Amino acid sequence: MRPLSIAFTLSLAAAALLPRAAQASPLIELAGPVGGNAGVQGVVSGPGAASTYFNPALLADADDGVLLGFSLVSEQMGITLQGRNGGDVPAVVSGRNILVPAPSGLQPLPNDVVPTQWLQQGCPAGTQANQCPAPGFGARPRQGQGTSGVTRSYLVLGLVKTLVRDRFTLGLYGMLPVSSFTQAQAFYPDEREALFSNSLHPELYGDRLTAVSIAFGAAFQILPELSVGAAVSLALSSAATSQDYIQDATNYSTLLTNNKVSTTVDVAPTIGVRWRPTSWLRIGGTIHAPESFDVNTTIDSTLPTGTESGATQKNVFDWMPWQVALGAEADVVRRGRERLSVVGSINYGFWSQYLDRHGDSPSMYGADLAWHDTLSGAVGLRETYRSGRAFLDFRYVPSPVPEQVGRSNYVDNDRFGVALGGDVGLHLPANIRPGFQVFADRLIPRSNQKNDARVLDELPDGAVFGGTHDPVSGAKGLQTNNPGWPGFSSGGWIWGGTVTISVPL
Amino acid sequence: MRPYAPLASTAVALAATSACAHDTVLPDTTQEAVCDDGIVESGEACDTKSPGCYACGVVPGWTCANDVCSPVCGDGVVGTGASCASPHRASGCDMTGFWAVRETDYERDMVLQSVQTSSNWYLYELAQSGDGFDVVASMDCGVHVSGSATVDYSPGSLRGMLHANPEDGSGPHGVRHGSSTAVGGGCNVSLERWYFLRALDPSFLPADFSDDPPLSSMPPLPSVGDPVNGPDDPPGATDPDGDGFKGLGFQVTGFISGLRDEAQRIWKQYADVPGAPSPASAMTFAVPGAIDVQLSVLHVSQCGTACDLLKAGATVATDIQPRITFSFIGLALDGARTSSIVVNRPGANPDDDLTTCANVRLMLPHDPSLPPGYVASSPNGP
Repeated sequence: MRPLSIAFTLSLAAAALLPRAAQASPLIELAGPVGGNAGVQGVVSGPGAASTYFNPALLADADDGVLLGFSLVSEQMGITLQGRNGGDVPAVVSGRNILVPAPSGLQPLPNDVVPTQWLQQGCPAGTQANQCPAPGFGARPRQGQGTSGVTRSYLVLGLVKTLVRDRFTLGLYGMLPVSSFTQAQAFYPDEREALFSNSLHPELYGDRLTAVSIAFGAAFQILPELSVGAAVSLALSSAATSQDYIQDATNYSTLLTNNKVSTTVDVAPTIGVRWRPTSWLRIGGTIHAPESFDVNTTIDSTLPTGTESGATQKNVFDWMPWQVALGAEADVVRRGRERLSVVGSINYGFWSQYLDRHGDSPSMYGADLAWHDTLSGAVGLRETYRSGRAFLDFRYVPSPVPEQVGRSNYVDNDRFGVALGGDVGLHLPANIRPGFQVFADRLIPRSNQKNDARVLDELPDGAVFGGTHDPVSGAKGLQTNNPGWPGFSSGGWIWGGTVTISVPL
Repeated sequence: MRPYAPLASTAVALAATSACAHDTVLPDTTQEAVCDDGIVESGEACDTKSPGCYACGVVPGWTCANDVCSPVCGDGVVGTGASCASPHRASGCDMTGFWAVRETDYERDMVLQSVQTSSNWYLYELAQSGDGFDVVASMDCGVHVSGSATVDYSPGSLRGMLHANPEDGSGPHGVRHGSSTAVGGGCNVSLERWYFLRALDPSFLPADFSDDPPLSSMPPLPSVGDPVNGPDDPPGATDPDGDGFKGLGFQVTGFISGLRDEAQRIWKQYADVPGAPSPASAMTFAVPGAIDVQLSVLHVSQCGTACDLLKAGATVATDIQPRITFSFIGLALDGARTSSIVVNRPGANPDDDLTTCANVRLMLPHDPSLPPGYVASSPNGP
């Protein structure tokens, strides 16, 4: 076997053994194509190993080689919560003896409603009034567990190899987190999150930027001016079942449990086309299938009383929509060994089908709160002179998230960004092409003002004490622990950079 | 160590020192709501000095818009203008209709001899013919005592006593009668003596009330040797609250706290004093009366080290006259005003009855004040 074949095979094997492969899109989409002078418009620009994901048809034009890179992506989204103007859930709800109006009559107040005071200050352990059973209820003040302001580093790997000259080319492209290998962090986008972090989190960043991201692809050149390509990224689906026997509901150290975990693999395809109608014009297009990392958790519990209860909870991570991208690159200057081209591209994302980390559609909060499809775009320049190349791109990525006037707190912003970079071919004892590229996206500040009538009143006006039906003092109006109430704003930057080195094969 | 780790660490450290984002929580714009400060704050429906606003909630039978409260007219209540100013009953001295009733009496605890004010609420439906009226329906809507200790029906007692001691003829003692007679621009109102049992079987009352027998003439109440440690099962005592102990549970809070199960036998009667009638057509008026109480503490619990204090009961403060206060609800259940307070026919649904009783208590909230001129420090009154 030739060394290259061994390397390629090993690369495939290594990728297959990664603990969690293949939610390629969120990270790769944000960072943009690395190497190949593609800027942020890999649908038509490049070509290079990154074309495997952004437009596999371009692989037909790529030079054989190995790409190594080291990337940083810094997520600097600041979230500002407005001060609360009342609306506290009174401490009396901790007595768990409150009835609230329901269509079928008075019903017990749901147990997920807790006093606001508990969230802000905690509830100390004890047996007296205003105390909780040991070990107590820990304080979780608003936005005390925010998750933005994180810089992550990645190793970039790429490989292009032509198997049949001018006909068939293979590609591999991936980004591997260097630290905090992978995370999948669920959170509720509404008042339920008060029971956990009591904080708002960026919806489209955070744990979505921690997935090991790998794509494999191939291009087939039909005609010299026309090629097509296809790529796949692996999509995992995990199922975990926990069978529990709860000996003591107040002491889970005595829990008896059997866990079963299974994982199935699916693939999310990308298909692309490259057309070069003239020597100075290149056109590319891709369709990306949706992908996600699904986790279904089933809990079957048995109590000493003989009561058995079970439920399955679904989590969806790293969800990416159907995407259709189209781009064109035209040479405007061709003079000797210099070439200057302009490039533009658009990307239509079907974000209206979004599923959040709990597998819920944002439309559950109201039709007007459903996410929008988005049309993003980029324009830029490419300059090639002798063995050096450079690019400059500007992009605008609108947010699919409408203003959060109701229960939901999906945090996201429109982005306007710039990216620039370049590389140069050096003829040292070995041919290498070092390069760098940076990008900075401004998260355009936005604010969200809640409509009180659309926020869940956790202690309805008709709340009464169960024993006496006396009205609960402080129930009038809106009481909520929704961490996003009465409003919030967000803004900041996402920036990053990559140093690369390409080695021809 | 992975070969790229130092490079990664350096790069991350550099990056972390620039362009950092911070989350911010702006200060809250309001403090905790304070009732009776005249400002309608979060959680408050009103905050104004009006009989239609109690504990910053709207009293049933009233509306409060922009913190201005006005009664709801209709269903036997007439007033002036859209705000129903000067509301009064349309029926003069006729007592027909639904009434929220609060009986106020006074007791002395047997430890400190201090005066306690007791409210006992009822819902009455009355039907008048001529000068007399009958009780058509009644519900016991609870007890609240303030003073040296705070005493309430336990939730089980409240539910268990709703339809005890019926005054509407459904019990063994017939219908309770009263009268309301027009006199001198007012109404002479009276309500005949009636006997009540709490946690006792009917054998502790005579079959005939008509000759107003004194409590002392009746069989002695059941008693136990040790209410703290029990277990005694005194004959004749019942457990209407279902707490597992004979007696009716009263929740005591204050400088002592616990649950006291008692058996009680009571009579009450009310009548306006000649020459001092109640105002005609008034929405709310009070009638003086008399009361006698016998009680036996059968069990105390949840009292820690204060059980000996808790088992001490109270006696009627005979030097302070009790009274009954009537507050008109409306003529009939199909009226909007009445149905907003009496949410269902009494007895049709226990949960609805509890809601009705809560409304009754809100219409006539507990008034802990002592009668004018009474010196609280004097065991024997002024």
